[in-house]
Amino acid sequence: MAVNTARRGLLWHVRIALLETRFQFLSSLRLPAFAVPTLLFPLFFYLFFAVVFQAGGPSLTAPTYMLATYGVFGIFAPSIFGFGVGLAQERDSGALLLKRTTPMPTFAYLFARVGTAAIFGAVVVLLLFLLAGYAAGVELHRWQWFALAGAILAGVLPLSALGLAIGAWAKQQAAVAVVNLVFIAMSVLSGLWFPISMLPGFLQDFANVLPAYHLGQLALKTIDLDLGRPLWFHLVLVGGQTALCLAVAAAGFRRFSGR
Amino acid sequence: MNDVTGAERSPWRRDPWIALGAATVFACILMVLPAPEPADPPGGPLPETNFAVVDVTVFDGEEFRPHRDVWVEDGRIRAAGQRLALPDGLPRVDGRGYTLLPGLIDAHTHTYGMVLNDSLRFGVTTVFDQFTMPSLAAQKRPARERLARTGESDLFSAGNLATAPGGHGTQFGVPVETLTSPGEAPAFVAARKEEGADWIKIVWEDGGTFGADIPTLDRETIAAVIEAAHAEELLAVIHASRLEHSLAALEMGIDGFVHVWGDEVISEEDAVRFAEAGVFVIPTLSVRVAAAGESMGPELLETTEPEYVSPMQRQTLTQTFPRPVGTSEAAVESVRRLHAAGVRILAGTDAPNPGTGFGISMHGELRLLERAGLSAAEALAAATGVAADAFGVEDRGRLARGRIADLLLVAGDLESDLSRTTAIAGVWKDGFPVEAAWATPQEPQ
Amino acid sequence: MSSEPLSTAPLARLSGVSHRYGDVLALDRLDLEVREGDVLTVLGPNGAGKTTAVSLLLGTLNLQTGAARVFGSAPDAAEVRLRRGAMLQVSGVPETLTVGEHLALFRAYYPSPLPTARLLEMAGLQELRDRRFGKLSGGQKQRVMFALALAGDPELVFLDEPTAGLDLDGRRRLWDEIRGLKAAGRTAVLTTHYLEEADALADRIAVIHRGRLIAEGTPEEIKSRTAGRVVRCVTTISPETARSFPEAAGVETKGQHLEVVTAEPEAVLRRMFALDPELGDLTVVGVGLEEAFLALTGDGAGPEGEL
Repeated sequence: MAVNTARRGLLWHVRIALLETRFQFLSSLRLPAFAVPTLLFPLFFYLFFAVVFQAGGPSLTAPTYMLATYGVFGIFAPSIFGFGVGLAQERDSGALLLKRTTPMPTFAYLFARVGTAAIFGAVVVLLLFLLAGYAAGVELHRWQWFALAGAILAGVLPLSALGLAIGAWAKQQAAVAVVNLVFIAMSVLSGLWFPISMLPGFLQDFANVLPAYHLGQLALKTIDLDLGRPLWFHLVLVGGQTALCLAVAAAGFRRFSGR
Repeated sequence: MNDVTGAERSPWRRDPWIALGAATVFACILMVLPAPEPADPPGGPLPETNFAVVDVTVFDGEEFRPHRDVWVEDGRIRAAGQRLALPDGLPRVDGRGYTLLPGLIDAHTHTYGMVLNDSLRFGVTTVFDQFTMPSLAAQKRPARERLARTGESDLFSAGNLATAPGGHGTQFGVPVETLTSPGEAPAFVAARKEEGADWIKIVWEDGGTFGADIPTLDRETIAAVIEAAHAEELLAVIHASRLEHSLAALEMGIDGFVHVWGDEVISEEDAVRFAEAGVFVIPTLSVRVAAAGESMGPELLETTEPEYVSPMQRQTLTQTFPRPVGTSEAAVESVRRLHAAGVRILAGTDAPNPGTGFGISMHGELRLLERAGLSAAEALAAATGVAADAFGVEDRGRLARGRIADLLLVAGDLESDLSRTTAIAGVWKDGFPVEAAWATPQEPQ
Repeated sequence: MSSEPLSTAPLARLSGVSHRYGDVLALDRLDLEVREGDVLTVLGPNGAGKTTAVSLLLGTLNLQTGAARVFGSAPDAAEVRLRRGAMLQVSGVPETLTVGEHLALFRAYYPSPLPTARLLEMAGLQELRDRRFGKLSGGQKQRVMFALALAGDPELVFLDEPTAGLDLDGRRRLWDEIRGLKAAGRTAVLTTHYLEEADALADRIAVIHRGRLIAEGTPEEIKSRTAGRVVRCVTTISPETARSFPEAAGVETKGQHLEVVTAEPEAVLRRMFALDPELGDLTVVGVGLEEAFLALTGDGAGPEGEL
């Protein structure tokens, strides 16, 4: 169904964005180095720490808590690796330059990356939820299942912005190292691997500068297991951090175009 | 070259449908994931013995903990925590918007007649009596060990107090064993223990603060009673209405004070001495303000539905002292300084003195403690965990695994408004809901 | 520079464009015109500025000084992108997608794309449609990039070193397709450092060296300026003397050898034998690209890298 007009409306943009997403997703799915750890790590951690370790206990606090934190951890990888490494790689290989010569709108490219992270994230969330509900015995109010899924998946945006900032500046090889470092360090320091309350006080304060910490708290808030800071506190900070990442990314791309 | 472009079928025409399908599957799975069994709001009949209160703000005896589940099994607390793995079919009370506390402990009453029912209906599930007939205490004691449906609070008591012949405590027409010399102290204390006294209460009262002159124990005898009590491994607490006497008792090794003195404000230095000695103080501000002519009675009667107040409660709450004694400001200030220094404060009413009522006055006492600088949590701790710890009672006073399911459920958030403790939505004693505590008047029975 | 009447405005042009990368001046007041229906070959050694010029015409590089217009608009305007295609020198596409998937995606960008079968045929990829890009050889990848450049059936196509990495067969096939584009009325801009390629395909050749346009014209015009022979020998004649020969187009010493580029080798030889009857190790060969540049630039800076 060729569109026999040069005028490109909203529908055309949507169609290209969806198509970019389709192929971005396919491309990532076929990359075992991306797809396998992304899908398996959070599930493996959850199975080990929340299901096996906690089996038969009188309290479901830990499995429920970890559902939120490993959920955020689960969307962290596809978001930050997709942008941080994927973008740096496509820039270095020239694929990005080639795309810029085509009529593809930049928005479609960004949408596809975010969309791909969201699809992977949704799969992780779904599998985590199934593990939690049927293996760990977690029970949530109906609205909480939806709210938790929504809160986790909304985290794709700030974490993608973080990845974008890294990918915009680092060369491909450097990006792999930087992204891995940021991913692991931020996961630990944000309380995604074990509760933030187990960290020393100054590190708990430091966590405020990490977007993943706020995303974890926002997810935990839907199930009443957060540290009790107000909603707006986390929203304002993670919003500001996202804006900062986008500004850093924009500066990186300006440098790239001027070269 | 620009031919047959329309002839190719787009391979992605199905994509929107695949996406829509995937989203639908996602939503469907979210729709069937396990949800907690429905919980009943506390308005209807409350469950007994085996049940849970879910997603409730808990005051555990020390601090507030939001979104907790409390699981009661066979009249005891099986578990308290976030998101308990509750068995299927367990009756559940929806605690959202409510606060669940351990049943309150009134650490200073004088028990007689039907008063234990009045206490219980207001969520005071245990009273620490500071003088009653040993026979009554003995009669009520078995209920403490029994987890059975009851209409009365549990009673712990000093029984017969230690006072001089004709001294304070002998004026009520009840036969009272007395003593006069240090040499009598060991036998006196042994007899109290034999009667079943849970601790020893000593009176040091010369009547000076209310313009009387009454006989009292001398210092040596008081010291001997304290020593004898400790020898019998019993706590010794003291009624001392003068600061001077209180400081002297502190030197003698007293364990606690059942009133705050009414004559002077304690200095900050002396308050630190109290704290260092590790003693506790039951200020009984309810009776102190009543004695000063500022009873909480009218306020409590005004904010409580009339049908919940027994004639006995109404009668004692509206009584007044013959003439004002001391000032409420001095007592409140002393409590403020003691608390600031770190002295353990316990909530007690001294019911049924004029201006107080069994049970209901504990809710006034909490507000008075707040006035003396205690936070909502500290005031509630004074009525639960701190009180139980001070008297060595380990089976109640906290919401913790293994403790008796004496529970008070109130509507609203106490942390921001402690006066809401009277918005009682349910009381459980030994895991049984207390009859007619909040829905229908007690009196028609 | 253009002798055409104004009515046939160029499809794309760079006017007075200079571009710097830090201290390096990559383009120096370059003027370039692409006329409708032409195949313009931009010829020059590596580092001459060919890719920079193409990048400015594609809008993938921000203009510093001068002007760039394509179809009368800014090079990166949305309308422009719909009407042109590009094959970049450094480019890859995601390796885990198949050739067919890449074509499907790129075709979707354009209002009237070429049929997939036609694209596969043009690039000789019929057998490779379902193969992942990462599994292709270098030459096959190059052909995929060519197909992607043509996916939108563009009026103007930029081909930056399109035959690099292709074997002879692949190169010939690509030449045929580029000729086909021209036959279909399309316009192409091709960069290369093969004189032969420029000769085979171009309507017009622009020779760039050190960021400057040093020659422009039809292949015949360019060849006439570089056609001839290289006379190579060991001799006592100094380069200065050789440069004074009226027939000598360029002179260079290479080790013991003196090289003289000329359209009239016989006359040069006569002069040389007259001056140095003992000269030895004599060869007379056709001019290569290296010598062409030597001739055009007169400073001996030839192309580098693979030839």
